[in-house]
Amino acid sequence: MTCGNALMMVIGTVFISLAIIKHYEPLLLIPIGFGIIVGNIPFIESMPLSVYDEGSVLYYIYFGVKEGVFPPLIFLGIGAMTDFSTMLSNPKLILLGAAAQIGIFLTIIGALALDFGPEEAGAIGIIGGADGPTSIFLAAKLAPDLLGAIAIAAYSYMALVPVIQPPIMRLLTTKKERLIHMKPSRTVSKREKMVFPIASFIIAALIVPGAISLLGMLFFGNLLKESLVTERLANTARTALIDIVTILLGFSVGASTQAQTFLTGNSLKIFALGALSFSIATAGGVLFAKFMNIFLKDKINPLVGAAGVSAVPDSARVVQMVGQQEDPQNFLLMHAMAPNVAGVIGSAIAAGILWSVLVK
Amino acid sequence: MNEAIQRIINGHGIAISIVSMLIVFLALSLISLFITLLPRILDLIAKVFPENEQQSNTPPVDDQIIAAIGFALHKRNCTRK
Repeated sequence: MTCGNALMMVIGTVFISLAIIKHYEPLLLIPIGFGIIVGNIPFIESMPLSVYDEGSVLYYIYFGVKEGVFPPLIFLGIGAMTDFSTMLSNPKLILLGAAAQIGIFLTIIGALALDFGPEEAGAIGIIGGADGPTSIFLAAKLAPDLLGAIAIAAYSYMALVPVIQPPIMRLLTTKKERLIHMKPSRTVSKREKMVFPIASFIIAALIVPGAISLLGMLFFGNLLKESLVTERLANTARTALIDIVTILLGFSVGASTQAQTFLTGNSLKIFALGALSFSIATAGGVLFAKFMNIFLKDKINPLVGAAGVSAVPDSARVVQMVGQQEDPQNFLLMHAMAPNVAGVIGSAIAAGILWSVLVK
Repeated sequence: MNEAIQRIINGHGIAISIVSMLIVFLALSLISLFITLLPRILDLIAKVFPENEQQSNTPPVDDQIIAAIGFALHKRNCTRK
C-alpha cells in the first residue's frame, strides 16, 4: 500500500463523515466514499479484483459507468420524479437555465489553456453543469482516463452547492434585488404536462441529436409520471431503479479512484477548473436574470438565476435560503425550480453538443 | 501566456464555446416559445376534444377507500336513526 492509497482512503472516510455528520448528499457520498476505500485496498496482482481488471465483479459494475449506461437510467428516474409545472407556468425562466451553461463553455477555454486536449477540455467543462450523471456520461465518451476525477469533482461540487453559491449570489446582487417578490405561478393543466415531454424532446433532439440518450430518458420518465396511466412504471423509475443505479454508479466511480490513476497533477487541475466552472455558472445565471430585468415589467428576483445550474433541487433550496435570509416572507423555491429543471435540460443539451463536436 | 492563447486557438476553444452556447440558447428558447404557445394550442384542441377535468385531475380512487367511505357514511346514517 502506498501513501497515495492511504490518502485516498482518508478522503473516502471524509466523504462518508461529511454525509453522516453534515448530511451533504449522503445518497451519493456514502457509496462514493466507501467505493474509494475499496478501490484503494492494494489488490493481489494475479487476481482480477479492481474495476480495471477484466473479469472482476467491479469491472462489470463499472461497465455501466465506462460505457455511459448508468447516466441515462438516472435521467429516467429524475424525469419520473420531476414536476415541470413551475417551468411551464413561467417559460421565460427557462432562459436562466441556458445562461448558467456559460460555466461549461468558459471552462473549456480554461482547460485548453491548461494544456488539456479538446476532448478532455469538453469533459472537464461539463462539471459546470453541476450535473453528476451528465458529467460521467460525457467523460466516458470523450475522456475515459479522466472519468474518476471528473465524477468525483462533479459530485463534490454538487454536495457543496450550499457553500459555493451563496457568496457569489450575494456578491452579484443588491439587497433591493434580493427582496424582489415574484408573482405566484399560474396553474398548469394536465394536458400541458403531458404534451410537454413529447414536444420538448422532439425540439431538443432535432437540434442536438447527441443528447438523445440523456434527454430521451429524462422526458420518457416524465411522460411515465404525467400520463397518469403508468404510475407503477413511474414509481419504479423514481424509487427502486434510480436507487439501484445510484448505488452502483457511486460505488464503482469511487472504486475507480485508485491513487495510482487519481492522484495526479491533472486531477488537481480538474478540481480547480470544476470550482471555476461552477462559480461562473452561478454568476452567469444571476447576471442574466439582472439583464432580463431590464426588459421585464414583472421583475425576476436575480437570486433565482443561480438555480440555473442543474443541481436539482439543491440550488433551488439555496435560492430559497438566501432569499429568506433577507425576507422570511419571500418564497422563491417554486420559482427557482423552473431554471433548475431547465438547467438539467440545458446541461444535457450542452453535453450532446460537445459530444457531437469533439468526438473523434 | 502566449502558449496558452495558442492552445486555445488550436483547440478552436472560442468558436466551440460561442457556437455551443448559442445552440443551447436556441434549443431552450424554442422550448420556452413552445411552452408559451402551448395553452393557446391546447385551447384550440379543447374545442374539438374537450378535456375531461374530472378524469384528468383526480387520481384513480382505490376500491377499498370507496368501501371505507361508504361504510363510514352508512355508520353515520345508522347512528342518526
